[in-house]
Amino acid sequence: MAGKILNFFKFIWEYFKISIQTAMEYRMNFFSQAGLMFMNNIIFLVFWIILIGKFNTINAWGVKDIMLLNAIISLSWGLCGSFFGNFQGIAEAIRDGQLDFYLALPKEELTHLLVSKSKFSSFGDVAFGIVLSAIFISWTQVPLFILCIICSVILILSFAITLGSISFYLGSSVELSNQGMMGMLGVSSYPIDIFSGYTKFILLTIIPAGLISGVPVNLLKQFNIQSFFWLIGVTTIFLVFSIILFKKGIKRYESGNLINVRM
Amino acid sequence: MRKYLEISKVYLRNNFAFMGDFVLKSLFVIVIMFIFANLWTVIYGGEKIIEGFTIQMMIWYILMAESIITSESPIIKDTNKEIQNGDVAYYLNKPYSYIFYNIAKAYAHIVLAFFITFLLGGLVVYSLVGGISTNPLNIIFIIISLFLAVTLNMIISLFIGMLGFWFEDTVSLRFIYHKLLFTLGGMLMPLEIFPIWLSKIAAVLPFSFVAYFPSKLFVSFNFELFIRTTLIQIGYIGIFGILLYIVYKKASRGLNINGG
Amino acid sequence: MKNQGAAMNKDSKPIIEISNLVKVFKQKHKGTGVKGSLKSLFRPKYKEFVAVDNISFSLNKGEIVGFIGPNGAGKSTTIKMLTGILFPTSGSMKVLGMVPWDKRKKLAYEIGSVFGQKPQLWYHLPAIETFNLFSKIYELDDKKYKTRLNYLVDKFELRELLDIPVRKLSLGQRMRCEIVAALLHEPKVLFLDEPTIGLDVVAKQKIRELIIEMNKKEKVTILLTSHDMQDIEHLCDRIIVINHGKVIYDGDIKKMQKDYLQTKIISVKFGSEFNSIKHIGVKTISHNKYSAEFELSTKDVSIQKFISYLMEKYNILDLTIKESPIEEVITKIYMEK
Repeated sequence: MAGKILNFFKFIWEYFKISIQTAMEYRMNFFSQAGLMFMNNIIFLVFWIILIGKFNTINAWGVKDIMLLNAIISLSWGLCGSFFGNFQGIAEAIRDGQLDFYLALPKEELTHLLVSKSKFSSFGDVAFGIVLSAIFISWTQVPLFILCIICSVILILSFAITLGSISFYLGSSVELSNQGMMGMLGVSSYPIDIFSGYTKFILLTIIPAGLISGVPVNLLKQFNIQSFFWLIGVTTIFLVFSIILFKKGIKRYESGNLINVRM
Repeated sequence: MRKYLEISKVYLRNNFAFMGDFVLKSLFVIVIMFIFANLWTVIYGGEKIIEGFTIQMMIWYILMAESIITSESPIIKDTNKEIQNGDVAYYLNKPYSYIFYNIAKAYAHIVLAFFITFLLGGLVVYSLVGGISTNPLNIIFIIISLFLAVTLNMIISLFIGMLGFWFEDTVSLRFIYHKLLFTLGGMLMPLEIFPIWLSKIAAVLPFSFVAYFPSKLFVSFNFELFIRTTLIQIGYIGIFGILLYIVYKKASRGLNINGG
Repeated sequence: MKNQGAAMNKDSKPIIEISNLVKVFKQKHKGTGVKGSLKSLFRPKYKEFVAVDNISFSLNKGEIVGFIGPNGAGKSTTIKMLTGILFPTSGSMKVLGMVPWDKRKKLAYEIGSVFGQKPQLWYHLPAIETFNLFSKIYELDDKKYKTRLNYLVDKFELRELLDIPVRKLSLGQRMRCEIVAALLHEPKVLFLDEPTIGLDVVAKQKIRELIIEMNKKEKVTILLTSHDMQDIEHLCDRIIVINHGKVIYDGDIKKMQKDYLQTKIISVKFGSEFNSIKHIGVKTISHNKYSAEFELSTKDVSIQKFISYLMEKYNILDLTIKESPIEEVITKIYMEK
């Protein structure tokens, strides 16, 4: 079991190395894309600062909280894009039959599908996230912070896998996946506490945008055992659910009877 | 002129299928408006007016700005791509009517996208914060302003695309342009929220004439502002039009010499 | 330069065994227009398409078999089932003793594939990077991999090309790299799909030679799909023709030519001006002032008789007798069945 887990991480690392090599091969492109994303994040941060500067707090969220929010979202989204850069390409891979390539190779196909691409711009996100974290996270908070980032990454990936796997059941979900992930990114870029009632509940469960950034920020501000377990719990459920959905979908794919798939 | 109108109509009818795609893309505006409505409701708290905006005005303002900016035509993107590939040499030999045909198509796209975005977003906004009052007599002026805003956006996009003759990577330039629209253009929040020095700068840059001014006119019409805005919009369209022409001439000369 | 040993190699168990294989695709039939789409949502109609219709064949160790058929004949469906990506509607299949769709991952370690139209190499990086990545994917032992790599690199003459980004290589060089990538893990079965597509004559010849050599040395069983009949002629001893999901011919190439076509092509260069000829069983395919090509039906007339007739009528400078091109044979088979 431990051997399998080790192999899993080694495999991800191999692909990551290739991504870095490709990045160095296209140095200009890499630095401009990563740099632009870094700049982009700074611009939005500035505007948050202007907003908070004018209104002091937004439902108890102050400047520091907004900083943490941005750090977490950039870092987790960035890590997904750097290591699992194909996470938004699942629906397309299914629709275009690229899945065959991964199926015919000895490695587990979901992992392989996810790690086989890397987005240059995501490195800019990671850099930005690290810089912000370095400034605003204290040493004592680091373990909790890392745990939250891991949960966020898993949530983002699980959501992407779920949306992509819909292609197995209802036909190509390329556009749905794109919109869904964009929406997820959008909502999780804002403080969860601007929402209330049913909306907030949905964002903490079925569409876990609130768990990606909002809850971690609150946890880092003031640790709460219930929120913590809620975060871990929903993350685990989402992970298991998305993997099962994908695996079952593969069985359907193997029957060759999918709609809209080029056979 | 009528011919181009007809072309637009036929094109739209034939593309009913890809309307599905359009709608799906526009769903994003529902999410965005939902987020902003919640955000500003919390910010307003008990306040009735902030910098001259009621909450309704604020949200409708954002919706209008969002609708203008996000209504793009794939034709602009395709044209820019063709410029990158050098395919545009093929265009240089076509009659002007071909170019105008594409412009007509582009406008058709943008108008359609705008309506869908504004309608869908409007439903969300209305149900969350309510409506705003607009004097129907002002609608025609607002439409003029919107038309000019969209045109300005198109021309700047084409200009950036044209730079593809010299810069290999116009995608980054487009990216930067969009970010500038979001921020200095006033899409995220009206210029009134900015610190004074920043709002003064933003008010003279072309970006605010794509988003801020037309949207401000929509929620709070003022004839003086309309005249001023229109004149400057025309001014900027002229400037970028000339720049576009210069670049085009230079580029086509370059192309002819190099044989494409 | 054909591999005549393999056909006689009665190795105990066949490498590939296919028995009564059937694959039926059920596609949802969408009606036209909005009405049709709505209807299909509530009362879906299914259209059945029989892609593979009860085929059976086996491959023995070391065979190079050509697998040909027109597009849509069921070739790719069969190959997908052989690699375990698709499971059949009925029938059985065993590759290296394993059921492909059941033991797909395990089988993956033993098979390699080269798709002429779907490259596996990373486009932007030097081939060596893809090779290294594959060594990790197939979990090859480091030392063994290095030895194997060196051997293959020398054989395929890739030494100078290893560090050049794949996108800068010529098509022929790229194909050689693709084949090496597929051979790194010493697969027992190799699926080649259009391996010489787009290559010039010299490159094609080189690739064919390399394939034959690898087959001889390592006894890799090869299933070759190609629309290039020269590939088939040069590489395969045996040919399986598939059309409409059925195997319509399975046997020796030479025998196929003899069975299905009793024609010879006779090309002649004349010393005197050529007009026309009239002889039973002979058709003039083409002619110029001083040359002509004839198609002779061996069941209607003997070659000797026709040549004597020609020599009486004309002054002959040169004469060649050829087999009917394989394409014609295949076409005839397609048309018959």
